[in-house]
Amino acid sequence: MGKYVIRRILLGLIVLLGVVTITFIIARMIPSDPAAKWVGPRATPSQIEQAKIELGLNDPIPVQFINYVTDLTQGDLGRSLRTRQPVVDDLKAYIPPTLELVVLAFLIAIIIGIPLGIYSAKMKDRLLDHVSRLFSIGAVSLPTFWVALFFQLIFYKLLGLFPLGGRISTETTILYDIPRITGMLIFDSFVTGNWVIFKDALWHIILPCVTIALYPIGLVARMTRSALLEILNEDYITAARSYGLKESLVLWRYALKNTLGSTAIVLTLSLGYTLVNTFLVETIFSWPGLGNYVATSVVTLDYPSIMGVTIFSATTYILLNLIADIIIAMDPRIRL
Amino acid sequence: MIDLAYFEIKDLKVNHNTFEGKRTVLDISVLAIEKGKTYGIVGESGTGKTVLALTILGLLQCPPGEIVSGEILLDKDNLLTKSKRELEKCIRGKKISMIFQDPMSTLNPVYTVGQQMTQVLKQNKNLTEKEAKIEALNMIQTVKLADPEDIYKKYPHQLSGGQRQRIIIALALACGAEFLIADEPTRNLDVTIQASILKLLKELQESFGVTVLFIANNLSLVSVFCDDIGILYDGRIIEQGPVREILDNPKEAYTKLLIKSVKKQDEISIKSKIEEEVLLDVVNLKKYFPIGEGFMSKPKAYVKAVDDVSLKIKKGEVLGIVGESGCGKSTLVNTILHLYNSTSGEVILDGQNIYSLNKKESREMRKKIQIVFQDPFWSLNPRWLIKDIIAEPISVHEKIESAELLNRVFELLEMVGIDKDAAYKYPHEFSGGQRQRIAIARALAVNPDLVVLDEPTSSIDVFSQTQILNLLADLKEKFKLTNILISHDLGVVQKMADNIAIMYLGKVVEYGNSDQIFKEPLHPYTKALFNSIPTLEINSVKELVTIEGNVPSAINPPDGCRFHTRCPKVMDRCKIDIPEVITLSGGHQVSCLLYGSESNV
Amino acid sequence: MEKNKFIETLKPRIKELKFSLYLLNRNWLTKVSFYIAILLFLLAIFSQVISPFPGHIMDEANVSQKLLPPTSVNFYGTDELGRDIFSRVLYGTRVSLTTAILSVGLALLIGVPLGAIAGTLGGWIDEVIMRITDIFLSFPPLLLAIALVSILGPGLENAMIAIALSWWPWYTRLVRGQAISMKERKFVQAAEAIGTPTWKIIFKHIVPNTISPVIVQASMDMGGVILTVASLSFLGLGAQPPIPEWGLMISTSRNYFPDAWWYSIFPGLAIFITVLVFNLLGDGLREILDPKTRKN
Repeated sequence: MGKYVIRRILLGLIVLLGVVTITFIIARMIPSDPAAKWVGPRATPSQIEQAKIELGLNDPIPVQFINYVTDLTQGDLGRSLRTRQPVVDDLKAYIPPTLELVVLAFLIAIIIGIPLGIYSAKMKDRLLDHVSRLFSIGAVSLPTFWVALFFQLIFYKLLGLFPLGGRISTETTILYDIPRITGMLIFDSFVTGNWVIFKDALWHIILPCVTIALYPIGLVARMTRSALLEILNEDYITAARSYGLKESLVLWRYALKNTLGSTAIVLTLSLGYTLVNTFLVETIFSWPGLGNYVATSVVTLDYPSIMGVTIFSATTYILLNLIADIIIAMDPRIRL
Repeated sequence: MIDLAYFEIKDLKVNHNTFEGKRTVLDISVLAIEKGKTYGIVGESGTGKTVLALTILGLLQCPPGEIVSGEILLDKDNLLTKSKRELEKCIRGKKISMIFQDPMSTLNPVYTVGQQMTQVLKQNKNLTEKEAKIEALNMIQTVKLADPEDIYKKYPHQLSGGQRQRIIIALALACGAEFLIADEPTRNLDVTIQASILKLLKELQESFGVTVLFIANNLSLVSVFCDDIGILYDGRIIEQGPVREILDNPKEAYTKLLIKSVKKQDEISIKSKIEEEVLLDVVNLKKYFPIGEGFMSKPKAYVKAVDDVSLKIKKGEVLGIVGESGCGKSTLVNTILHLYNSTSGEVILDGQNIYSLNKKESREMRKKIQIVFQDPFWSLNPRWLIKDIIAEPISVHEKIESAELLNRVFELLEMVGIDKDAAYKYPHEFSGGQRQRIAIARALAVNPDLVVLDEPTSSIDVFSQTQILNLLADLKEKFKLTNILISHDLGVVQKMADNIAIMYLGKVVEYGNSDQIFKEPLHPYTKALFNSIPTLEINSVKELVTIEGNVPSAINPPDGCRFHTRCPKVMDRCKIDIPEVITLSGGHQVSCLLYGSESNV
Repeated sequence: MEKNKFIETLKPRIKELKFSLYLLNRNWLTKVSFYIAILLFLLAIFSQVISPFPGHIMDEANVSQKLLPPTSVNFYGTDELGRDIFSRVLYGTRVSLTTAILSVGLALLIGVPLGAIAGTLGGWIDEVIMRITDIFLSFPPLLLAIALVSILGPGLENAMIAIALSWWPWYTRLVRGQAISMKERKFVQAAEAIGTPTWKIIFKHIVPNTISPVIVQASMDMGGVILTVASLSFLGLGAQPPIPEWGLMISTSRNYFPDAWWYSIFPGLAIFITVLVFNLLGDGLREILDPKTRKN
């Protein structure tokens, strides 16, 4: 097992290198003049030349690549052309809000999606099954940004239940001291027992969270259902029943343990989708996270930040896939 | 006799409902088994055997199944009227148990066998974890598995087929079931392992007093194991009674056909006109498969699938290759067909070494040797029309007009007895026997010299088997073909083969003509092999010969004589010296240290 | 004579089709989605003819009529240039469907042959193709498309290429898995024994047997691709004004939200219904093409 993990990590690193190479190629092909951008709209040609040298843009491509990679390994993702800050610092500021959103949405997706999928499979072709299938397929058909607007329309404009956007109301920021441990308001305020902030933050996060969670709920429910159904059709389930084992035992212990592999894959996939949905939705909810950052970077063609976010997301994704693969490898059938 | 019946089926009708309508799968008016006796049901694939087993246990998937009417009585208690809960609590595992066909798919792959046994015991007998474990170990020992503690901790895929089947038997009997349904329990096992499983089952049946319903598609198997027998045809039991009665006085035509197809021939006639010229010369052929880290590093070990095999096949001959799974016969044939490259050794076809040909010559060579596979379903591309399937060899090797190509296809179809308009159909529209004919037509399309037949009749129904064999014999005559016939069915080998080679673990252990091999087998393995196969003449399981132990792995074959780990006549020498090929009178060859210059035969 | 033969060849395929249609009929949800899907295609083809205000689709504007709520004249209201939203949404069907079909088509063109080659040939070719596939799959969905469109420049055609380049690895993996199991089938070995050249084995023997799950996957993906196109356009990377693409319309509508709510809601509804229909269809198709269902 240990050997497998090591091999898998090495594989992951090779893939990461590939990702970095591709992002580098993409970055160098963006048809805009980063040097000009860096210096500003009223730059003189000599200032632009100077900037080019500073940014290392005159070096031959292979040299640029090696510099790029060395910088990466030291945690240097370059400097954003827009904010002028190191991309890493930008990321540090913008990741926690997104993380908060993603983790919460993901938890909701699991808590609702998995049991829904299981009961759907158990009650195959009955009413519950049909309703939940329709719901699941519906959930993955919704454009997330539209749902965001729709929710705002209903819950803010019509019903006035939830705020339009932002993480926390301005009054609270003025009146109270925001604890800063991880940068995730819900977690920080919960841990420090600051209930006013906690309630406020919760109230603000509900709408974006539910919006983002819909797609993963549908995905998880659907795939859990089909994985479980496939297993319930296997011979060893019929055999287990023939030995007189209780149906509940057959389902919850025998069948489910076999779904571990597919579940790991589903969860990884849904995390990926959740992350991406966040990008679409943050601007709508004025959520100061990664999505907002990317959306603005894209419009201004700020390539260091686009690439920084891409590499960060890809690395996270590769890590998640690694964990999923290791979980799958715990299946005793795999001879390691 | 009906009053004594412990298990009874009355007027059972089961349907299978599809879009095409309702189809009656089972229609059994009467079936009765006395307590403690064994009743065998013989039927071919698709006749409803498994449906019967599942219906008894209430495990039939409904829909699409539908139990229309009838009663299934266990000790006068109608099982069909019981609720799911009742069946779960009182019947399954406790009163009735089932042994399934494929032990690999019947065991949960993610739990150890010990855990699975303990689970069943805990629940059915209401034991604690500790008590259940002790019981489990006991049961593992009862089914004659050595080192129960070790087996307990293993996962299903870590055990051999025979071991797994023993565990399944243990699971079935662990909770004291008095009625056992065995659904083709030895289908996927080698013949020698099958014999030991049958013996075990018989012993357990007698010592525990279990009533057994034994389901199989093999008449000899059922007749050896059971007291009474019922012939299942098209969902109906057309004939039933004590075994000897049915075998001696069959009334139904189908029964008679079944018996005829498995009866041993007394006469071993000379079949073919064999010429002097050697068509295929296999010289010291070895094929090893590397295993271990593939990409970029040296393999850890090799599977020695074919280890130094030499054979000469003359024009017009039929060579039969007999052996159990893992003996290397498929690899041998695939290497001869140049589907694999040899690790070393030569195969000389018509004077040319097939491995030293260039690309063009290699392709030409393929015209001379063709193969008919065992599996009639997957040996034809399901997405191709029949005419394209048969035309493929022709269009690959010859430049030919499509009109003429079509004519050739029609000719070939006619030759194998299939109607011309089959050309525009898909394989799934045909039965197994018909598909096999199409495969034969394809094999003959470019007029090969040598045709390999890989278990040509194992997967088709008994009606078609005789027809196919006769067709093969006719075609062989007509086109002066040479055949290599692989089969585990001794009846088929007897009918068709001139010379026979017995293989074990990658080597040929005995070789001779039909007469010599069947009348005077020399090698201990050959003798055991022949005697472990149930035939109609054998009356009881006790007469079967079993070979103890598992087949050793081909990665690390035993030193000396490969069979020494299981040989009933093993001597000390056998563990060290490798037996050479000894040629006795009449060309009979054997590789065994029992024979040779120094020993007495 | 030749024509007769051709018809003969068609007959079994028509039989298969009839069987599929029969199965389709049995599942009412799939049947309904199927008909709605056909309706959508018809709308896409005839949108210019059906639209009440065909000119509004692109340029023609009537600024005095801007931002009107839904009425019996303008079913979905008007946008900031006074254009009839209903007509634009209708035409948007054509935009979305065309883009989706072309993107998926391109992805298939790249992915299927790669997967077939990797799965059948194995060895280092397989390793290389798999590593490349892994690299592409390491980007969370949509992100790669965003990055790619950034280089290629915003626009619908570039969005199509970017989507195809993000989507092809899924098909490669799918086909490769199928090819690996097909490789072991006897008809492949029979073809080898016959001497059929390798490329023919890959493309004439193996690929046709891997098509079923690919078709299912592709039709299920149609929904996802339409969503992706809309998302890209929403971010400003896909369709550019004045193309009436649904995502783009929603993006523009944000400036007038929530007062001109009809501007955001109706295009989004169109997306939802279209994607839903294709997802349901794909799901139903999966059941129809499942060999187990066909055997019964």
